[in-house]
Amino acid sequence: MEKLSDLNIIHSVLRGNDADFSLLIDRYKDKAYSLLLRMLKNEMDAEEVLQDSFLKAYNALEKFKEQAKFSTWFYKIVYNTALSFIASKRKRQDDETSSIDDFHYLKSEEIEIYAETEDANHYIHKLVNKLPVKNGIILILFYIDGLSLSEISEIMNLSLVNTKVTLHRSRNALRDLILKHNYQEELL
Amino acid sequence: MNELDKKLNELIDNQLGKDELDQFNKVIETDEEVLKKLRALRGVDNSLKKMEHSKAPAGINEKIMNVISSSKNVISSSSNKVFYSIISIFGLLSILIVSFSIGKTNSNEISEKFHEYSDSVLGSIKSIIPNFISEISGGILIAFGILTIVILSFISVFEAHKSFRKELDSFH
Repeated sequence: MEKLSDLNIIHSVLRGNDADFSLLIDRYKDKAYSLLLRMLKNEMDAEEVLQDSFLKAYNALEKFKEQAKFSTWFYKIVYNTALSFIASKRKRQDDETSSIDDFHYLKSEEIEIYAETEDANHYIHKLVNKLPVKNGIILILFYIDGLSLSEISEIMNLSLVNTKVTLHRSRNALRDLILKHNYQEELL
Repeated sequence: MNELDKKLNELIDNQLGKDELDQFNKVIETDEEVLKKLRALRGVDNSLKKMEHSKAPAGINEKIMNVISSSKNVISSSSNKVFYSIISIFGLLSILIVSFSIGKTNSNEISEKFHEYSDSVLGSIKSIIPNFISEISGGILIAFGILTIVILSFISVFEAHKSFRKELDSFH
């Protein structure tokens, strides 16, 4: 069976077939949930914001401009909803503004992760969760979702240069830790 | 971030031009440390490409669709409230018109006072609305009021029936 495009589904929902919205939920729930877990660091909060984000997207579906990609538009809703949630809960989001160079805690936690992990891949993936929110999200959007740097900069409301530099810094920080443990050959 | 790190990242992302790439390859051939850094960065890149999404909780589709359908009910009930308010205003206006015409036929003091008062209100309304409407008699106004109520009530019953059917459909 031919796979429906996001746009086909949106048109169907706008024609009154509300049930078709669940196709979009199916397509984006895991991606959005991964981002939210990274940002909120709590499964219950991530689920709550996930529901809220889909509700917002549903209510704003008529305003969706077809020249944009649905994924970029939806991720922007998810990202902003999570930021509002954090602000409303008055959570400390110091790592949102901190630079990768400020990571004293990464170095201390890294030792613990190194002791727990079985292989280099597992070690890297665990470290991604310890990066600052901004860095972690850029890595997820770039590597798992395959978004371009310009799409990521649009979602996160950052300049293209800032997005690119953050991606490079995140990789460099991970690379330095890989070199520290001589993991480079194992990962190639 | 130094220039070397920037170049290494650009190399990983295939963003270096041919000249830059040739130049960089010469550096890699002669500098063991740069080669080591490049291999480590490629390793990180390979590993990050293997990352996977976390799975959303089970049953999340149903939860989200329920949230959406309950939010739609809230919107429809609030729009019903607006609808009923409009009907009430029309009803009130019609009652006023009926009272006004009854007041015209009675001759006691209260009805005369009411008549004077309503005349002044009607006068000011007539000055606002176009001439051809102000010449319409009281009887026609009453008939118009009743007709409006009947039409609005019919629409209200139709809307209620429609939302009830939608609710029934959601159970299937």
